[in-house]
Amino acid sequence: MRAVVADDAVLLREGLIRILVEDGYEICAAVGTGPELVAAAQSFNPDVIVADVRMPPTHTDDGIEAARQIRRQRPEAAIVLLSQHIQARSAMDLFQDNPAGLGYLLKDRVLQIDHFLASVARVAAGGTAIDPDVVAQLVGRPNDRNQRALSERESLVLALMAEGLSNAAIGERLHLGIRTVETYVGAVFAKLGLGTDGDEHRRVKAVLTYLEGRGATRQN
Amino acid sequence: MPPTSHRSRELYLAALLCAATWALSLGALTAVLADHEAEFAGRLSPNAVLGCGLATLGVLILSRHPRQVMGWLFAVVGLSHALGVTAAALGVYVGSTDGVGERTWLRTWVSLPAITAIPVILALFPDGRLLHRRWRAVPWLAACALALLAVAVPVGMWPYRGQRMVTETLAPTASGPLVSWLFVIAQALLAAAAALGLCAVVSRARSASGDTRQQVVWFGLGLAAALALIVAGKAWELWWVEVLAAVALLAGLMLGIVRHRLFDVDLVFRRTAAYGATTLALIAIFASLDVTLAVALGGDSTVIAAISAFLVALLLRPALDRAQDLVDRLLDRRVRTAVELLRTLGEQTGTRPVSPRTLADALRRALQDPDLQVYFRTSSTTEEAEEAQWMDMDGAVVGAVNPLPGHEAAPIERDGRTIAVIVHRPADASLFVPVVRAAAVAIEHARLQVELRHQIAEVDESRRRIVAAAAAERRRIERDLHDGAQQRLIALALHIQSARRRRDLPAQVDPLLERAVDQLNAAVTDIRGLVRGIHPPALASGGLSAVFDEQTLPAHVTVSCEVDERLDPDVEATAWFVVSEAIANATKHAPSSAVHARIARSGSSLLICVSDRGPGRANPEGPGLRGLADRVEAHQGTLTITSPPGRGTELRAEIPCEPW
Repeated sequence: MRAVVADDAVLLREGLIRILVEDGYEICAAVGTGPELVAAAQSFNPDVIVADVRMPPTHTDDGIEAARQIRRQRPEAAIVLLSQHIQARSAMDLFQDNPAGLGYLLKDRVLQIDHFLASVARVAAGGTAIDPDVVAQLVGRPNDRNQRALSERESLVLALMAEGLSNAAIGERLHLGIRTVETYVGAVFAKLGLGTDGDEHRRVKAVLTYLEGRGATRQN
Repeated sequence: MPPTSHRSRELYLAALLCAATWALSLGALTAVLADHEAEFAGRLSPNAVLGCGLATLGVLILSRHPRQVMGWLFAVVGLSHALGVTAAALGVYVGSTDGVGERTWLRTWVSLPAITAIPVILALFPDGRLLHRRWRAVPWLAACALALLAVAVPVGMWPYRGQRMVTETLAPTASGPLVSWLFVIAQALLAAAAALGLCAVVSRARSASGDTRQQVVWFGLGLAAALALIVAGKAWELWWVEVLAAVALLAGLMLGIVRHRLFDVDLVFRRTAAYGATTLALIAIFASLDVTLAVALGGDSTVIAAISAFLVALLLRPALDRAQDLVDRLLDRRVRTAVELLRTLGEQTGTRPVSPRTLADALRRALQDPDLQVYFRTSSTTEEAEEAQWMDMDGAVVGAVNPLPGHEAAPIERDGRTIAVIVHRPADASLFVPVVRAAAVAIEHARLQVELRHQIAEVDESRRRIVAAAAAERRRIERDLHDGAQQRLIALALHIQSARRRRDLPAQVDPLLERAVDQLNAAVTDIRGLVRGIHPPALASGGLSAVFDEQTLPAHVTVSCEVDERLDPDVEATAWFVVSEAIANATKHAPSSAVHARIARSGSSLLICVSDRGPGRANPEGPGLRGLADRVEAHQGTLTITSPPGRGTELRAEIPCEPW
């Protein structure tokens, strides 16, 4: 797998490169600014990009902006964004269109190397990965009484769905059988009034949309 | 100002001359009238009127300008006329017939100064200085004429002393050729001097401008009228026409004084006129009272005189005030209304704040100049500074006062320093000076206001700079910590994690490395917390909506941020700080109460409201809340705390701001 790493902090960039290399990735380019990232993505067409959200030139959301540009040209590009702090709103904007092949992790998450590599692999394969802390914040502010009506297990399942985990992955995490997971998922969707769509990406999107509180598809 | 003792001495001398003039004139006229020679008294009266008038004028001038030569000239001329009148009266009609001849002879040369002084007065009018060196001829000619006449007249007139002076026409030639020649030369010199004097007056009228010109013009008119009347009077032998001539000349001078500040004595003149009028009125009242009471009561005349005197004394002060008012109003309505305007303003200054704009409006109305501008000088500059700092009426600093063409800049001085400048269209000095004098208090007050405004603006500006500098420093620290220390720690942890995954690591090392990573994690968390306390990174990148979005708040705290757009970073930082501190305070002092914070835009202000239902009794002067208030006020905002005991606390802040 070919990867491009973008971060203006040199030490961290070297660390990321080493982890990815040890896991078998081939690093095509290592850049430090938003425009450089866009250029590298265009020239090398990597399988996955790992980029910091905050980079020169503006030191605000250059990574997100670069991701937007890259996805405009190549909608299937897989990008994992690393952020120092949660900054949920601007990240959610990106996920609204199409969460497939997008990841948003906190930089601390990098230290849990296994989890980080798993998220990168998931995103490279076209899935979604959202940092549990971000999800926790979204889930932790119940938007309406429906969500408050969820049981503890159901809330957990909701959170893991939002993270982008598949049913199998959820089962693994919670030590449940896949049938049990499916039941929970169905219950969650029913209680929240979301459409039961098998497609994982749309599921993530629906859940995220719901959690964001910007309206949800309701089942008549 | 010359030393008072010196001034008084000269003034006393002049006053003495004037008093002598009046006494002699009135005494002589009374004596002649007592002798039932009304016609002769009438023929003397032009000289008496002129003499008294000029002497009084001389004293008035000297009271304001002790060294002014015109004052001395007038006083001397006046006395000379009075002496002539006295000599005439004594010589012909009063007293024994012994020495009549001598007395009549005296009369002729006692009047010489009056005659020879006329060209000098013409040449020196109005400021007591010659227009040009070449006009020095006039006083020289007059002096020569005086010298010659001083010899010729006594000698020539001696044979004519006595009744012959009255009855015969004077022919000096009879005294001998030398005397005749002296006479002729002297008269020629005098005529030449007079002619040159008239030319000087005309020349001055043409070259002068403004008030000086008007003064000379009025004087010239008075002179012309007087000459015409004298000629007419001599032609028709009417003495009262000659009196009119004297009156005309005095009127010309009076108009110059009152309307155009001739000799700068208008105020003194007015007061004297009022006093004179009052005296006459009171005398008249006394006389009529005396008569009336005598008729009504028919008693002791001394008692009646005493009663009348007492009643008149009561009337003195109010009569004087009324007379002053009347004189002022008659003589100068325009100036009076203008001065009244500014005087009212000056009185208001004590009780109501009068803004510099009000002062400028009053000045504009008083001087009828809608373009008038006033500039004030800041007191921070010293007199030696080349570039004075001037401020306009709103406190804005202007570099230098450059009046547009057609406008004049009139400096206003106080204690010898220029405190303000009025830029105006050319105005009559007789109007301008009294108005400015009446406005002195208001001008000083306005200047202080303008200066205060300017200084407050500077202080506000400097406070804002300080707060902005502190905020910039915090951002710098945040960025240094975030980009520097935090990154290093994470990178270090990453290295150690990566090392842990190596297969050739001894088993005992792994827990050590795990602990190391945990410690590094904790350090990163600590720094992150610290950074967020100093200045949350989300604030710089996402604004207020972002920072409250991501904060994990305790369950009892709710924040609703309705501000989506970005604002001035300093304002955002202050708002975040206020909310954070307020929430922290509420959590500390009202731990069991729900806390609600709201941030919203309202018009062009940012509104912050943090409330809880705790015990209340927050102290707005405590250091924490005082510090919040200071920060908010540095942005021209307001902070109010409502905290009744037992009813919770509400903190409201309003900061004016524009979208950024």
